[in-house]
Amino acid sequence: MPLTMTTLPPLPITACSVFSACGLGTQSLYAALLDGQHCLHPPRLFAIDFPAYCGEVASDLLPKLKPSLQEFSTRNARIALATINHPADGLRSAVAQAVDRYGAQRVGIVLGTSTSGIYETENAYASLEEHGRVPASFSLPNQHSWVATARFLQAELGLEGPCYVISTACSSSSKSLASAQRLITTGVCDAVLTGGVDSLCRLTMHGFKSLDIMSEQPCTPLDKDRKGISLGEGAGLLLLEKPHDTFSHCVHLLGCGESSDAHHMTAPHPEGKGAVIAMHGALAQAGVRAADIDYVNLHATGTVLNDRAEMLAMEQVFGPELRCSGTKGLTGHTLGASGGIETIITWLSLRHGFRPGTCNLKQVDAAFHCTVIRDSETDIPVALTMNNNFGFGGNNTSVVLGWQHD
Amino acid sequence: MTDSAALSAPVAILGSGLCIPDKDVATGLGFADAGLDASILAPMVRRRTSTATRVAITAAGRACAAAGNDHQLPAIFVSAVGEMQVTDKLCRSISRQEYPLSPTLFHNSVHNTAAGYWSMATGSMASMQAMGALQDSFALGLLEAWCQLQTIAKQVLLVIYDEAMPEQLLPDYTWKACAFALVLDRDARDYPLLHRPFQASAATPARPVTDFPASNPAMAALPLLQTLQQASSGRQQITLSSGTRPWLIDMVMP
Repeated sequence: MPLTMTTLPPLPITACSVFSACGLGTQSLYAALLDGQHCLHPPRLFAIDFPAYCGEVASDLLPKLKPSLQEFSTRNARIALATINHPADGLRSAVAQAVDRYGAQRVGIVLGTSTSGIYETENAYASLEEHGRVPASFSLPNQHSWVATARFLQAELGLEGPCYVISTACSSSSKSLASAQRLITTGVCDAVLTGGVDSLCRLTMHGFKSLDIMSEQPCTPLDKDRKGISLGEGAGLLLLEKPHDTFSHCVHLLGCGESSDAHHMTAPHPEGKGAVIAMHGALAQAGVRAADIDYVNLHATGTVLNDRAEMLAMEQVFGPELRCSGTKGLTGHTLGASGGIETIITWLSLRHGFRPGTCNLKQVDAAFHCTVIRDSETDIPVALTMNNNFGFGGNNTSVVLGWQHD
Repeated sequence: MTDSAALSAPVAILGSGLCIPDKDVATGLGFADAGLDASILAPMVRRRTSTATRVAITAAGRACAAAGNDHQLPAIFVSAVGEMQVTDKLCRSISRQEYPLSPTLFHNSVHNTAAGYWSMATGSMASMQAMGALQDSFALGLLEAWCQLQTIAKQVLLVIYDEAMPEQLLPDYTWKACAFALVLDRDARDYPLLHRPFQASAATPARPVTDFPASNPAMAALPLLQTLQQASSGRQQITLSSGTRPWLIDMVMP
């Protein structure tokens, strides 16, 4: 059965903020992208018995939750709170203005996460193993369940619209953007806080190690000698609103494409077939041509198979001229937050007229036929961008942002 | 924006399916033939997947068979907690520092495990959603389905499922695994019709959840499925979730 590939109305991104190993706020991320020095270190949050690097957020920047919402306290929720509170990005005040403008029941929240509060669940199991019971502070609904961090933000911000979480592994927060877009387009909501948050934990660290795709050195996506991923954590949160003249100066969400590989739980379709469908879907929904895209932020995890499949798909959709890069060498692979963080990287590309480089890249794999950017390119006009995210289960999403033109 | 008349349009239920492996529970609810049938999965995959994934895929297959479709439609898998038994095993290994973890358990711990295996088993390359909203899971799954039908899809498959909780972690929660599935169509009209889910107007503002649902949140689909079975014509309002601001939906039987 064919999908209906119609264009959807552009929706303004009225505010956003980000937190990653590169620091708190969009300005820190922008500076790190220009600088091109990776922010990865061996893990500090917990000990591991194998060599690995990861992109940890600065724990001293994590605020405590207020006492009345303490039952939600997780590393995930604290990362989200730091992000929403960062004054320079004004995301919290933009959400408050949306509540004033439309009413709390008209403001929804759809977040992506792949970890939720599993780090705290791991700690609860340590206690279970040692003392035979989980600590009294552990709350399965408010810390572990998928929707926990979204429910926390909903309560923290006084929102009363629909509140749910998308969890499709590494495409989670790109898919949350697509759901948020639909909630507004259909008139269910007037504004939706969206994007995603993920936090480091032993389950993902040891899990990816068990799949033998963890790089021992800082990851080198797209390099001919790439040897796997480095994990990261963080949040990328965006406020989408219904179109209005006041927001014509904002970067707009133009289209999302979603597809499946129907191939394998962990390996991508070898020719990137599902990725091609997602990219074409996003272009069709945005009503733009592939040739009009100025920059693509690749999923580019740094594994041999993922990068090869994605670049084969890119070649089919865009041909050799398209300029693209991968930024996980900078931030680490933030899994369920990568869609939010990397969509914000394309937002920065549009706002500042630049294309980020590919951190840690020495020599591009000769099999790749699109133009991979190594060092950031500045002072260039950027009108349309795409961000790709692909996850376990063959779950693919592409997101097109751009300036709105009459 | 899209035509506002279209945006309040109801959607049709082309088919439904369910899976409740516990025979006593199924019989008690008036459902026969509700057992597991995950034969759509390859034998090795079937052995390695959780009860959560298998109930979800069983219900999904039954709904598609009832609707007479070929599985090539976007799907939305909704679950409050997802792969809790797999996660339990991994967390136990971690607490005992039994490494390396099982790679199969690891990739089967993601929330879109059921969605991923469904896509592989059916060959569907359409969008696969995996979402959760605790006790509002069914209501917001229906809302997501309704939104997809108004914007990107002519038909969608909606599956709500959860499995039993690990006893040592949650001894008081005796959830029984179950799954319910609907195939929904934007244009068909000679079928039961569902309007857009809505939330009862606010008597109190949203608050943090303090209690874990005492029964499996997927059971929130039961009133709608039972109304479908009764097949008495007319418009009815069905409750989709509990709590201070419950979600409701209007259903019109032909």
